Amino acid sequence: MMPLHILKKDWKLLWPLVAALGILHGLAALARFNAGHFLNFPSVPLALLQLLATATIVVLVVHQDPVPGVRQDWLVRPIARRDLLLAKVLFVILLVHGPWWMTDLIQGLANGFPLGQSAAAATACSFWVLLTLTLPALAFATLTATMTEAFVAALAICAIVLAFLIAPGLVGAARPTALTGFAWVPTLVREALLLASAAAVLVVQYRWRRAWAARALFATALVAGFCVPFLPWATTLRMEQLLAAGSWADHDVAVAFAPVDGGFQVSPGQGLDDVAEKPGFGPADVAAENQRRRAEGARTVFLPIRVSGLEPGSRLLADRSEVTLSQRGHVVYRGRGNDLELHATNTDGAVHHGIRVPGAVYTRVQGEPLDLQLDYSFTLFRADATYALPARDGDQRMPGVGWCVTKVDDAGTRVMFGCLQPGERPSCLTLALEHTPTRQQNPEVSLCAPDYSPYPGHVLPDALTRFSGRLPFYDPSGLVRYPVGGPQLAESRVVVTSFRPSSHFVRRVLIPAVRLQDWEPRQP
Amino acid sequence: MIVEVQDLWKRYGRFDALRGLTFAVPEGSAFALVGPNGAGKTTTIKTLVNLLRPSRGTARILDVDSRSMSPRELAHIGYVSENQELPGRLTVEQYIDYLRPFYPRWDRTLEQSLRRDLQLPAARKIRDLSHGMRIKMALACALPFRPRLLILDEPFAGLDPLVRDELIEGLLRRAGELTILISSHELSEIEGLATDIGFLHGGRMLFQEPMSQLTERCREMYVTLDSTASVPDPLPAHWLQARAVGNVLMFVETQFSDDASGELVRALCKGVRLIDARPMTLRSIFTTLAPAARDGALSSFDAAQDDPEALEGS
Repeated sequence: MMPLHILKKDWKLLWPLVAALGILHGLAALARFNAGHFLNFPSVPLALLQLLATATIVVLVVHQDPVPGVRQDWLVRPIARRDLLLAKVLFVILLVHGPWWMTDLIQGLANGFPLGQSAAAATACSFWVLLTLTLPALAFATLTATMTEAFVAALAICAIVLAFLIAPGLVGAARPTALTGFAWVPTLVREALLLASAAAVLVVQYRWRRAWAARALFATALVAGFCVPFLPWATTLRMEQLLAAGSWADHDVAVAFAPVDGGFQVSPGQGLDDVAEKPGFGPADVAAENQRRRAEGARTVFLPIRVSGLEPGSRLLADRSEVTLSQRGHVVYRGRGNDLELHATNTDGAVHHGIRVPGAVYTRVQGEPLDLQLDYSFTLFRADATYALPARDGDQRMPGVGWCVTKVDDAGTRVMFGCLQPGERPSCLTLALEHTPTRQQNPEVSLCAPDYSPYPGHVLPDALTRFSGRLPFYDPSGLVRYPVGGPQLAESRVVVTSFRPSSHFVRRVLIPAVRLQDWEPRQP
Repeated sequence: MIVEVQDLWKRYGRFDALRGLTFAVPEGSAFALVGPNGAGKTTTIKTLVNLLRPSRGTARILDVDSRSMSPRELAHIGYVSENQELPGRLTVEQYIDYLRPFYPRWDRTLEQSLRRDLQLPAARKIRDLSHGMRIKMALACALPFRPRLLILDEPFAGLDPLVRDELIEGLLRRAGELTILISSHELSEIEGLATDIGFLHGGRMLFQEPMSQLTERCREMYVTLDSTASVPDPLPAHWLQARAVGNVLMFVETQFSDDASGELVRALCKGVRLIDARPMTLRSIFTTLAPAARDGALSSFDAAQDDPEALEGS
């Protein structure tokens, strides 16, 4: 009863702000709804504004009865602190999260998704925001008594975050799981640390009112949380095995160096600097990447790698490859290999794996016989379902993928493919522009953004996931000719294949006495 | 005793705000905690209501250790402080409405009467109230539940005389119903209100006694002599601020009794023609005792109180 009484008091004081936040959520949802499948406005900054406004109201509601200090009137009133905490949590859930959840739900329904799916996505999104933002913000608010204090403390936190973003680059430290499907492991550990510290702070503050102890606890958890992504790759994998039991399996997949396959040969007419080092790169990406490599003075060698024991139709993705170059037992270079992705059409597959070596190292050892060790962490994706929709103005709902549409871009050079899906998007998709009568296909476009998290953690910009791809069919520069071009477009379709990660495994490839200069790309 | 403080210490870093404070407040009394700035009055009060945790010692209030104070005890304690932070964005009416359900013994008739007497503007936001009105507001929120103990921490600071009089009048009207613990520099106002007084200095209670006894034992003494007066050497420890002007010796007798004081004067001064013992106001007593306490004179006086022979000889 008393928590509701306290909540009513807070509502009387904060209702204009709560209403403003509700309107902000509503307007943002409306803008995204109108944008449809292809967001053409800064959606993420808008979502960040929503998160910032939410956090501000959370801080304000706590500050109606500030915890630190000795002057607050409520401290000498017969108000049970448990009731007070409950009132604040209720306020956040009902009046801050409630309207947001509702706009997410309405947006899902307005986009034609079923009530259950829309509600589940809205709830998962809201729950995740509650755990990772609002409860920590609630705990943070109990550490300060005024908005000025909170603002200063928030600036200090921003400084810590910035330090963690900038400092590693300065000292050469890297986040091993960044941009991999395992990024969820350090994220989950960090969020769990933050949540546990938030819970501890709330207990310490509302039970004992030990502000400095609580501040120290929160700061320690924050710093520890930001250190987690720097854990070594092997440690992260072991944590993944603990957290998502069953996803690791032994396979018959074998990986070996295959010198008989020969070196990498560029296509006719293609310059050595036009080689796409990484899978899925378009011409612009290739040019930018090669420019970056030249600026570094680095050289890239392409090693022929053969993979056997694959399931036809599956995809193999190297989440990480570690390269160690040794000369007479001494390590001369240790680094990461380029991205590696293989679409198995057969049980065997061959690929040239790019390894970028710093210029100075390359110059010194290019002609020397070296021992090369490749440590791969692989994920095998199995094909889940295949769908097709017209290349022009297609509109189709695909179970597991979402509501997808196609359209030709304004320049008339690419088919734009866009999807909406409540909750998580499929981890991996491939798109191919196919001429229906002849079954001819343009090169496949990968929309793989691996995320192996066993839980829904989609937050931004809302409960709906939007993803899109571009399928080029005409190159104005004339460098590339596509089998399926503009004239065939009317009879073409976009073939969508979704894949799901089925298992992870590691492999080591040892190549003795290899000479780097032998594996540079060559003209045919 | 409704409040019992035993060997209470409060340390801020290297500074001891309270140093073994011991005192007790009898139920039904109006206990005034007085002392110079920095004596530890506010720290004592904040420790009593569990706003601060003691570093050592115990403070029991309503038979409960202050550290274990729960809403059940707080429902019987009214608290008014000069620097109390009320929720400024609520109106007077809204805040009283908010507080009411927390107190099972809230008396709406008393609330109405207080609001009327204190002339509180119901629709005005608390942040728009003047300092005096805010203190009135705090008082109006501290009395309607008929607390067993009313704690007032410097309630008269910064108030104009009119408001002060209104508050004192309001308190006096209810003085019999509850125990009051008040800390204040406004000694002239306390004088008419307090039944007991505790003198706090440097985090320690230098003395605690009923008000009547204190005013009875402190007198301004004017001793007219036949010849030029001089300050006796050695001076009795309980004679303070002694000075001689012409043939008059003036001092404050802190252990006055009709017979003994006269006898001591006669024993120490030759040719006593007239002894005039004038009652002192609380303010005069405080301004006499405070510097003495600060200079350590009262410490020897304290010891002397326990040992009358030492008093005689000092």
